Amino acid sequence: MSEWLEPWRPSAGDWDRAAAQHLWRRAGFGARPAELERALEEGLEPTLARLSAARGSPELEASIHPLLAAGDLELLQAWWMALILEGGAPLRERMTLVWHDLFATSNDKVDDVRLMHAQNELLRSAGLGDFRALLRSVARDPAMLRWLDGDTNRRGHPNENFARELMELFALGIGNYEERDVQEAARAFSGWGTSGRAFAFRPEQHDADEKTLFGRRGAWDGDDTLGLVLEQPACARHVARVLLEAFVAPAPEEEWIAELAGVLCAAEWRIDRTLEVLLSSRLFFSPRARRARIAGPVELLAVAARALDAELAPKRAARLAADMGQALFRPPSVKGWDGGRAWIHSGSWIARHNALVALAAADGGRDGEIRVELAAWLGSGEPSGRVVERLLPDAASARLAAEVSSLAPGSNAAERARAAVALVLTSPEFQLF
Amino acid sequence: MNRIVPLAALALLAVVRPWPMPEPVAPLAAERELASLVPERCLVYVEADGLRPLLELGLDHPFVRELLASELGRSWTSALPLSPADAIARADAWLGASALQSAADVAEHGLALGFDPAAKKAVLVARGHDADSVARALALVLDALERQFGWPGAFDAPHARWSGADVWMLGEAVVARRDELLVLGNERELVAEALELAADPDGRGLLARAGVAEHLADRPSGIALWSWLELAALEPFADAGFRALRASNRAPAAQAILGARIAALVSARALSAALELGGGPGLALHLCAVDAAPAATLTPLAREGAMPAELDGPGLARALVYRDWGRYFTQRTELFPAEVLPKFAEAVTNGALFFEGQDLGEEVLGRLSPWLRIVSRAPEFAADRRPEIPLPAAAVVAVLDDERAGEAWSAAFQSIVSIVNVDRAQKGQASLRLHLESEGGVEISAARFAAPAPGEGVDVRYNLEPALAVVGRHLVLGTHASLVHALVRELAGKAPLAAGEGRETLELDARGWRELLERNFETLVANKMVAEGRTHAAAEQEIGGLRHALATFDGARLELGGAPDAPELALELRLARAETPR
Amino acid sequence: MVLSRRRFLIDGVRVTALAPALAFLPRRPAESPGERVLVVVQLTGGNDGLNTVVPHRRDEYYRLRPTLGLERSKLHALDDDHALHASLGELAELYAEGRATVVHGVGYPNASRSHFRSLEIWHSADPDGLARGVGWLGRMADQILASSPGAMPALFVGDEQLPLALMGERGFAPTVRDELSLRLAELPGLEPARARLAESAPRDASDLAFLYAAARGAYAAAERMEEIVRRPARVDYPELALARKLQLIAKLVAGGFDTRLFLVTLGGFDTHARQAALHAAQLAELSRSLAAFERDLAACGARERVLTLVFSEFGRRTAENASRGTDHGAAAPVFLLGAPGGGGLRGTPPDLARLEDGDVGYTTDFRALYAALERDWMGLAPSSAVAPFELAR
Repeated sequence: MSEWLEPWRPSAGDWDRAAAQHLWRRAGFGARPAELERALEEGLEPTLARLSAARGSPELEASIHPLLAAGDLELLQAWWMALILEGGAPLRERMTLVWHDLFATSNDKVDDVRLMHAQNELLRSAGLGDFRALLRSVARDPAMLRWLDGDTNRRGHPNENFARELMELFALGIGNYEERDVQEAARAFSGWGTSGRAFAFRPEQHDADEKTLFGRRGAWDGDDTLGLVLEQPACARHVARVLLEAFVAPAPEEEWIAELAGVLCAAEWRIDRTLEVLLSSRLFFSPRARRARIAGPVELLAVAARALDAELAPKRAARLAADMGQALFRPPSVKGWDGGRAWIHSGSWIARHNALVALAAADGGRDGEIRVELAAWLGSGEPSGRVVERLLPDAASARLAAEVSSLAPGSNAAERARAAVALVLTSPEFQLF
Repeated sequence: MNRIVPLAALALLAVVRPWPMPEPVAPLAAERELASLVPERCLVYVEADGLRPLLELGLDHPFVRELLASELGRSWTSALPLSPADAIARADAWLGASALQSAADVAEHGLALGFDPAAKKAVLVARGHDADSVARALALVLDALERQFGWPGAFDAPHARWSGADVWMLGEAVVARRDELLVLGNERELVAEALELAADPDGRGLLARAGVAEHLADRPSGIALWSWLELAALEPFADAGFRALRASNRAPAAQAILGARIAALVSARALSAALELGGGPGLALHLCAVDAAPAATLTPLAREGAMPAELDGPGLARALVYRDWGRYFTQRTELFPAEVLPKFAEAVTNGALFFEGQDLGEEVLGRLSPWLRIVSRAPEFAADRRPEIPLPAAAVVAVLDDERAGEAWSAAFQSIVSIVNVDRAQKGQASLRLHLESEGGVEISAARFAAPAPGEGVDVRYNLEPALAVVGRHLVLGTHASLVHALVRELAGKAPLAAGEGRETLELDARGWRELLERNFETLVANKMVAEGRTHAAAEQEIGGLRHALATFDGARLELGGAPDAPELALELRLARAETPR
Repeated sequence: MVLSRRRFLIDGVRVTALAPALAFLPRRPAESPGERVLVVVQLTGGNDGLNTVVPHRRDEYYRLRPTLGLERSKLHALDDDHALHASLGELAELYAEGRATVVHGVGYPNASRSHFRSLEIWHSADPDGLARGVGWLGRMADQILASSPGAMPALFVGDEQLPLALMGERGFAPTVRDELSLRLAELPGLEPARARLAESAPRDASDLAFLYAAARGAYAAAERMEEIVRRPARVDYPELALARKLQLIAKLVAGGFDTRLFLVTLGGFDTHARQAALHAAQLAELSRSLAAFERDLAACGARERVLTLVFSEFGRRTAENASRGTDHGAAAPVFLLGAPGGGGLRGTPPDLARLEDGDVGYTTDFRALYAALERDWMGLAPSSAVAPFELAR
């Protein structure tokens, strides 16, 4: 194992507020003040164990079931935001979002809330397990089939949509397959469709003739194709890249990718074990990884709300995230959300600004959907200093701290607190997680 | 000699007058209305009369006893920190005398509250048993306040004297007594004005506003509360919702839903309201509009028409309404502002599409009697298509001018279903299958979705089973086929009722709504959890509160009447009796 | 009051599609006076082209439309054979001044008569349906962003969901309902603190510098927008929905806002029954709104740099149906407003004697128009390989 992926063994001083927050904001969606304190006390390993193994309220998870009949996507969006905001199972929800971005499926075309929910549950239940099983399940997922035209992929009239996205986006990446592979794979997947809301294989529509995939000839079918794809060395690297981009930094180094791919294979493709290595590694806690990602809307809202120990109505949160450019269950295309700097543009910046200011301004009960008590959150002491320290421990931005402390010295303490929080939340520094 | 000194002394007094003499206080005329003591700028006025028996008997008053024994009463009292009896005992202790008796003395001949929204201040006027008893009661309260705040003697003497009344002030709050009149307020000017009105035998106060005197004189005896609202004058102070309601007289959508009478009621210049507390227990509210400007062509009896036959009820709700939708179309240029006319044009175009080229206003809607019955009942479904979220079923029963017009409606229904299906097919959605069913020889056109595959879940759209039937001259159109079937059975052999004096009514039955709530309880709890982020326990408590609130009612009945330019609304609310005595 | 006067709702802004943008540069209005603008007006439902540009000399026209045929005397002549619907008086005046161009028979091969499918085709400029969720205006927006990331290259003025035409791979296209939509929520003291922080912000290639630059641009855009919409109206607009939307666009263009692509829609054209009154009303709204828009642009000197395209997803059948209306058809005329369009009647007039299955066949591919607008008007790469239409004669 290279030194990058060796476990990080922090000294007492190294495991500080910044490190704990870094872990919570990447492996989960940010910590509430009490959770952060506990993380500081317990140390890296117990915290990571908590983040990975925890489970949330079973009633909340089950609450979506009676609502699916209503067919309202906003309710489904709100439900997922509720799970994220509750923070009951941080790493699990984080991984579900990562897979949702990778296997991006939009209800705009699927047009069936039950199917979108079923796919989401699949990503949730299988997301931390064996990636190979996850990929196989996703390929048969009815929402995915509808999204990528599985039903119209027939013998003699192959539809390449799924085959192409499988290779280009889901499993291999451009340059790791030939055009011919896409065409042959499309033939292999013919007959894979849906009947009502379930997967159905129609043998009469399946092209059972010989095909050449990755240079190998055989009467490959859909399952065989998936097996062949998974065998490609590029596949493990692709998954490793996805994990590194999601958890460490955009544009990961080739050597990291190679290393992590090795870890993945050694771990029988189990995501949870791979993440265990990654999230406790020196790379993960290195300066290269700290504050290296521009936060997406969902994580920004969740982290900000939890950091302020606020209660945010999930339906409102889902709408705010959509305004900022991330509507859950409606990614703009099968490429998902590009993320990084692509999140930021004039229109989306204004939406971010307004959402975060709304969080601060809700102090004192002005907003029925947001409950935040800054006075209680700050505790005693000079408000401005604490705001920067609590929200941006390693911002290393003296200028920001200076501005915060000199905010409107004339107004009352409550107004100062709100303005301080709003200034820090809307600062460019805060957008980097 | 003995008589000269006292006479001289008196003569000296008459000349010198070393101390000020109190002005003579003209007693308040017995027949003066309390409203004449409330300044005219109070746009909201509430008056309670005949409080003596209520206050004297207190918890033993029959209505109060029944109220406390009802579901509603029980839920209130259990939520309070103190039981009513304890609260009264505490008040007695604080006062040092019977609180209820003192209150009865003070409010014996009436209690009135006036509110000025411009200043956001209020004044309370009470006319008591007599000057002495009121003075005594006031003294008790002032003494108790002195004890409470530790200001001995602060209120012994009045702080001022205005218009013949003794006045005490505590910050912005003022209390004044003039003989048997007690005036309280949180603005000095308001109280001063009230006292001036009391001193002026010709003082009119609120009676100066048009209509108040007449309506006040007309109010029935034995009511608990009487109120006057200057709706037009209140508009600048109210929110957008109020203003939208006020504009409903000119909004087609509001007219179509509320009807001409209610729209005229809420758009009136002023409103008088009387509240009666009844046995049962229950209460009755009676609203009278003053200077209402109805759309004359739309009011009941503007166009006569037969009424649909009576239906069983009430189910969830049952109503008889007068809606002359045909006239909305044919007279739209007079009734509605120019901006909404294009929408009518669009509706006519679409209507012509379905009704074989006929004009929607004149030939289709115009051939229906303006009297409609609307029914809502709990939905029933076939076993293989029971939606997980059941919604109430509703139907409209109308009377056709002649039977044959019914065929055009059946044909239109079938066309609409086909066109809806084309639209749905283009979007990849499931289509509605058209069935022709029979109920006692009557043909029913019903549209249903294909049955869901087993195990796939039954979506909310399965609530939609639109159906249409023509029974003699009755036209029945409903959201759930089962309801249309039931109505066809009920209407079999019945003729429409002759045109005549009709009153719009609405009846609601709480039990039906309670049952529907139960069926949807888990769904409502889940919705609260997911949308608002409540915990399961908190959500259960909130929806449980709704369930409980529904349990406190038995039902309600609303009836509209009165002259076209002075519509009246009578609302009766029945509270549920507690079922199990505690 | 805690919040200052600038606090308003955020749900006017809905943002879609995203991609990397290069180093962010704020733009100031004075730097871009000559930027050309394209306004696209979509007539949703399928505009009846035959009753819009009427071949009143042809007997077939009156035979095909016994009740819907328009009276010759009420029409506004364009040339000897064609005249505009009675409600399009203002457009006829613009035509006479050479400021309106009418293109006959615009469509595409194998016309789809489905609203959704045909709109998709017009929006993506891709009749084969391989575009994968990207629209022609969105593609232009992407190009603008790539070379000079400005505030917002494209804007949708309306309250429906963002149409496909504006979806790009790189940029955002906010949806603006009205003048209040881009307002910033503020708390006292934030603005000056922010301004000071921005001054001393890093200016390297880091993400932080990028974020500071983006923020600066966004706040500047919001401020500019607020300034712009506060200005009084120069010209009276009729009380019509389309007019209000165009008024907002005129304000933004005149105020130097750097959005160059606008899309608005006007509905009510799906006239299957009793077409006469409804079509007349909708065309009147179109004509009056566009006339006011042109007047406004003239008043602020922006007329020469704005071209307006008016299209519909298909035309309607030549024969009227039994309900005194018309059903979905194929090609239809398209309008280009603005002198750079070249003026006059262009394209091949529909031949009523040789109809394709009862419909007017297309003689000008809509992608040719798009290519002309993309390449020759906006100076960007066209979205298809179809030869561009000639704009100015």
